[in-house]
Amino acid sequence: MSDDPYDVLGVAKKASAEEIKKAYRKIAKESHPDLHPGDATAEARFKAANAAFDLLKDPETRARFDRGEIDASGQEKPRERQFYRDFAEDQGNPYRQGPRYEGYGDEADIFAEFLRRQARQGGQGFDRQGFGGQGFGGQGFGGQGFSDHAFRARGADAQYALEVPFLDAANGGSMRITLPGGGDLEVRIPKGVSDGQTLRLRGKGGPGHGGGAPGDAYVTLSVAPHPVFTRDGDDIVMVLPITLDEAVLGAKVEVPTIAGPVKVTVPKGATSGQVLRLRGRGIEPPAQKAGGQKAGGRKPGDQRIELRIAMPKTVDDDLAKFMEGWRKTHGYDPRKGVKA
Amino acid sequence: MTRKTGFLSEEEAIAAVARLDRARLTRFVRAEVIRPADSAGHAVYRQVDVARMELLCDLCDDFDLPDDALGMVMGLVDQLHGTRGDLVALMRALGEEPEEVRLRVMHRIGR
Repeated sequence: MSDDPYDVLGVAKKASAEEIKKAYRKIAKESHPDLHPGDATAEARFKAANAAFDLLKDPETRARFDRGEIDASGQEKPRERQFYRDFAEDQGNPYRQGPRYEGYGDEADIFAEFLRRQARQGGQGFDRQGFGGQGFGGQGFGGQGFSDHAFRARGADAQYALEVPFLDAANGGSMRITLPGGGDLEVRIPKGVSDGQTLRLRGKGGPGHGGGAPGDAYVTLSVAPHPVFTRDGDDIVMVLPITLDEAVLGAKVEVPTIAGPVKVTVPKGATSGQVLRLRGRGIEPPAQKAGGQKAGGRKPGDQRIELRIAMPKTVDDDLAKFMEGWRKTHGYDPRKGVKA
Repeated sequence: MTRKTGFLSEEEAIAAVARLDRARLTRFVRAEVIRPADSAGHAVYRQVDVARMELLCDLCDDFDLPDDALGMVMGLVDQLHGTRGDLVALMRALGEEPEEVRLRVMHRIGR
């Protein structure tokens, strides 16, 4: 695809602002990625049209592009946008809609639900009644419909946001949310939850009406940063300062892990940037998940320790004198191959 | 794509989504197409809300949708994605079954 913004939008160089806008909106309507999930061509077209329109909608940048002062990418990089569909298919998406699989088992076990409905209808497959309970705006109706005269409405879903300490997210734990109407709600944090994950607590939302089921509570987690540890996939990563003498001579030092301190051997001649790996000391993947699939036997992550040699606060005469002597006979060049 | 972390206040959400202003956010919340989460009594927005606001701005600006249509369209979009998510889960589960089961299911589907 050409990246000339006029080509992308399919307009002439002399097109009016109105024509450009019209051309852009036409493409945007036809290829919006959130409305065409799974269509990579549509997505590429949409992104290109977006970038092109960003450039051409402002008369000033358009003029600068026409004069050749800026290239098609403009000067500023287009912000990397997160599309809704990157979240939308998650089991935990709080806006998730669709057949609700009510009242069977603990999680949205769609297989159990299929079986249940099949049995009730004598194996005729699902007809219109079969897929009860789609709701809009989180106020779905119970799957029973109106057959027994009573109007049943499912309670509204509740949305909560919860910041979780790093170690509780890694090791699992229990926290309480204070509810706006008083009272509180216990949230069990499973081991190894990741930032942005949403937990669904069935039946912990608003009360139902007319005997309808209560709504669910969706709790989106934000994992607080830790002063020492960061997380990279299932690995825990940290930087460990070591002294000059530990680096030269090697040492056994105590290192924190998410499950408490362990002794680690720093090898003789360790250098800054060197990474030691503690196998299996990282995040244990949560024991998945809705639909009965296991974590696929995913092994726990590692802890990666990047060594960093920390010089003493002051370089005393002894050290300086020793180094002066040492340098004369043991010079080495660590910058071999460091060239522009 | 890496997901950014943390929750956003109303001001931060408006700053994060270029085409969003307070009036528009109020409209979205009133139409219940955005449902902020409660964090210790404060309304906060999650990354999923930010991504959704971008889509809603597209729907308003590019499609000229009025508020009542927004709710309907988002309901359909959410159903589509929810169903796709279920389909993915189903296919994944099926993929772990022995070949004979997979073939029998494919045969029953009739494709």
